Amino acid sequence: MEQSISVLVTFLLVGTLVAIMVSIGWLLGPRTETPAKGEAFECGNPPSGSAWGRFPVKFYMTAIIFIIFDVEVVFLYPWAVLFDRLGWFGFVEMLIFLTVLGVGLLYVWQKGALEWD
Amino acid sequence: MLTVVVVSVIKALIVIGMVLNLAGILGWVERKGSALIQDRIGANRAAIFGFAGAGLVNTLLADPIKFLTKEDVIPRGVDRLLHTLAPCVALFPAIVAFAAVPFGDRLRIGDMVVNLQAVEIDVGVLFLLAMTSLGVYGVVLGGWASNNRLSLLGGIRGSAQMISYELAMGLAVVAVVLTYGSLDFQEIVRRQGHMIGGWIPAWGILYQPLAFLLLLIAGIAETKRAPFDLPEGESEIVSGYFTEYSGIKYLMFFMTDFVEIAVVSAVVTTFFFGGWQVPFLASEGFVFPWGWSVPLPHVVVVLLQVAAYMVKVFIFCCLQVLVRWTMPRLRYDQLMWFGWKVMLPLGLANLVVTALVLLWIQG
Amino acid sequence: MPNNDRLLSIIRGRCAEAVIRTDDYRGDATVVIRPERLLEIARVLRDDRELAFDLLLDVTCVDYLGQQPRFELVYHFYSTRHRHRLRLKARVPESDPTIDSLVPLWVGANWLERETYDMYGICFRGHPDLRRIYLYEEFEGHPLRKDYPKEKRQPLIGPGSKGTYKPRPPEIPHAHRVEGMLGAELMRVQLGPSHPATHGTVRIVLDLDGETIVNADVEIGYLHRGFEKECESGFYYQAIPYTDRLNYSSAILCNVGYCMAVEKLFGVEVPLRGQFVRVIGGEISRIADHLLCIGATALELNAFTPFLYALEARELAWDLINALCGARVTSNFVRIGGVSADLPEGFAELCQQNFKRILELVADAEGMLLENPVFRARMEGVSIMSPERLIAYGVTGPLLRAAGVDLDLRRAEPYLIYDQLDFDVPLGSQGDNLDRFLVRLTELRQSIRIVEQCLRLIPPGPVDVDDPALRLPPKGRVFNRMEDMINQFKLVTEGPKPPPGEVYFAIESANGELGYYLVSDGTGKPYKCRARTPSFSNTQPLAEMVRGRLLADIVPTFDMINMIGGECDR
Repeated sequence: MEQSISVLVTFLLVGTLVAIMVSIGWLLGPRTETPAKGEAFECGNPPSGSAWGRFPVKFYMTAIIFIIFDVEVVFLYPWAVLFDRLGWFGFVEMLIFLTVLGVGLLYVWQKGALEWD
Repeated sequence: MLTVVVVSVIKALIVIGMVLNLAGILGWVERKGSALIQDRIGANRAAIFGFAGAGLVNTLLADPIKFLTKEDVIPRGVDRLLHTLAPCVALFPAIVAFAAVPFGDRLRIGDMVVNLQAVEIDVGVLFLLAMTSLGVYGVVLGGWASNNRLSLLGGIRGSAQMISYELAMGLAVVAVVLTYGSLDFQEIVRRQGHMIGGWIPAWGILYQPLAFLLLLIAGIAETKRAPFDLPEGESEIVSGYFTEYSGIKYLMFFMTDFVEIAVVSAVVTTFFFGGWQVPFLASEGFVFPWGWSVPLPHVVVVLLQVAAYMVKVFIFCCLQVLVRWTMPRLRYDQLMWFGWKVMLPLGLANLVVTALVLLWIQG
Repeated sequence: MPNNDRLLSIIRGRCAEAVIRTDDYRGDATVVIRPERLLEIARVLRDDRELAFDLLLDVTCVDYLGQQPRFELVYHFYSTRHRHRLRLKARVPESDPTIDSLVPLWVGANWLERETYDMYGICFRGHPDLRRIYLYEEFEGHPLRKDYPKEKRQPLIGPGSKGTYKPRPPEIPHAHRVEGMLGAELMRVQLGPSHPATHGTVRIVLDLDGETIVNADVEIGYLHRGFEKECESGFYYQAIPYTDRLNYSSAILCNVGYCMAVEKLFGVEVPLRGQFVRVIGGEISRIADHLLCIGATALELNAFTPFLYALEARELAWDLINALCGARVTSNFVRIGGVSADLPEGFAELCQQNFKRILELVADAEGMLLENPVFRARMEGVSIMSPERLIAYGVTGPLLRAAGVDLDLRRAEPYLIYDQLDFDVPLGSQGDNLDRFLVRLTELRQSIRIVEQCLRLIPPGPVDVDDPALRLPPKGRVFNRMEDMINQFKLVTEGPKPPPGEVYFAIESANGELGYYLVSDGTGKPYKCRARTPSFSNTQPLAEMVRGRLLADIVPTFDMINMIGGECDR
């Protein structure tokens, strides 16, 4: 209960702070709109349309590989906390788990998913 | 119940004040420090009644006021909601993450025991990781909402970079957790309190030197500062994800950087340099191995611990400023190569070796 | 000086029926040919073993208004193997100003011909991409034609325009798509003109596949201000301040080149002390230029500290220039027939003092950069181009020397007193950005060595030629002697008048061969004053160097090319 309160209080206070900052800027700052000011910055060129296009698949690949390994790390935390109780059994179990993922890493490495140039 | 809330509010306010001031002072350290490195004078213009405070007035007062009174330009064609939300989403988790790190031991006031940690939970490490992971959304949203190709490139670079280095950071943290067997920051700090052979403080750096390096490097990468400042990449993509930001929102992104520096320093301090521990300072006062002892009242001990924590954090902040003014910027492929093919395998190896050593000690 | 008679007789022998006339004036070998035979002769010039003109330095045109045929195309060639030069001329009529393009033989002819098209309206048959290069497509007329009035304004863009001008989206010629992109789109990104890295004011239009550059097009002309037109409308000496503004980071070198070209037209030589002073001024300029290039490269790679070290060192170099002529950037130091002032008192001591500090600062910056693995990783192996390809593009200077080609005009064709000086010409091996960086760093130190030698060896004596037709007499004499007063009056109001003729003279400037091609019609104003600037030729291969590389590689490559907008755009 006390734990949740401290989290809640912190969230509320920091949230308020951030909200106040945004609104102060909105209240204090001047507002003059000119056509040129509203343009997207393209190094001094007239804007050439929306930037929201389809993006190369390479970046999604990075994201997917990340998720796999991040989930792996999440599994490691409970294991790490209880490690002294699990002993050799836990170590071997986790080693098998890590080996599977290590092979996965080697595979994506070999496949060139980790090449970016 | 009410006391709990009041104490929580006070602690949270202290931490927020601490981190905001630290961010301001870091701005000053960055300016004056870089000036020192580069044979220049640095910020020295703003003054109150002729008192410039060696540029401190400039950074602590003049800068925020100036940013606050500047126009917040929102270009046409942007997603206005996300555009406003992005700096908030960037700043919020950074401050909250800092609040999870304990800045002192328990303080006893009469019957009441106050744990000097704003976010007082026993899985603080997980909480911190969760919050720092949220930081990526500020970058992505800022880059996407701006509807500008340069911003978009910055946002995409930022997300790829932050998630890649988050892995190495996570693995380094697992190794630390493995060493101490706890996810509670206070517990981890207390474990670093004793002396090895009576002389050397048992700080985490002695047990986990590689994890320290991994965490520091990954941390600098998470703060998006040189040599990892690709999401900004001024000479390539102008200002990256905050190209289209001005006024207070720009300041918020700017502050996020500094708060993140403070978070990285706080985490490094807590995991590897004893957090609020002062060498030879026990709960009754100093006890030196050559036999001397200096008894101190409880409040002084706690204050010394808080001061030690802040000094340590500040030292690591300065280290990061020094790195930023020394290193050139990496290229995207080099960044990813380093994250995936150097940091990640090293983190895995460190984990396995740590587990083996622990088993060997246990017999 | 190579044997021009032999050269010309070889060319006459190889293609006798195509050659109209050959001559050798002031050491410049010239061949006048029939325009329809250009491609054939050019091929012989390039491929013949005894000729081997592998470097196409310059393509330009002279407008002889009122003569038939009206336009004379002028090509300047250089052979890196035999170290000889040649000027090729061909006349085309106004009714059909068309000639074959040399792009199939020298890829570097591309921009040069586009410029000639832009300025004179000459059409090049077979040119892959004949667009205007400096002016916008809607510009009417060709400004360097003699019948285009200098004062004429075309308010299509800029102040005074009626807002009718709508810029079109940029297009990349010969853009190609990437196979297997899974439905992703190429992202069109424009770097510049207003961009932190394009300090030369240039626009690079890019098609990106993620971070990889698929297509690139470099667009110059943002600093075009009609250097040639301005020079042609003033006296010879009035062009000197304009040359300052060609390469504003090493102005004295541009002055020296121009004044020596004019002196070649007159056939005079500056006294020995004057030559020493020119070398001293020029080499200090070169130091300043290299320091800027090195510093800017560091800055763009986000190494802010070495940048400021380099700039502090450049301030010290500028202090020396300031002592020399009272100005720092646009020095306007050299005069036709001499220099504006002799060395000031105590200059040698000042040099000694500043050089010491410059070397310290450079050593600091060098240590911070070269011992940093990140910097090395960003520079090493990036944007390699073979020496043959660089020569085909017409690249000269440190960029070419970094690829291992030993071509430094101070050695190859020693002018001034460079043959009496002891200095090394640093060469690279691989031709990547790191080699380019190292070549500039070493050259900078060699320049300091040159200046120190000059200060030791400099003889006493006058710095100016004693020729009242060329150099203003001293003020004391003007006020006291009638003849000198008349001379001063004549020089100022009519300018020095060289004999009719044409010369090309080149020096080794900080970025490569800086040549001036002057045509005199016997009056006080140059009929044609053309600057062959290294930045123009050196910028051209940028697009090819970065194609297929990552976005971030543009930055060090562009910086090592060291494009100076004033020099490139003229």
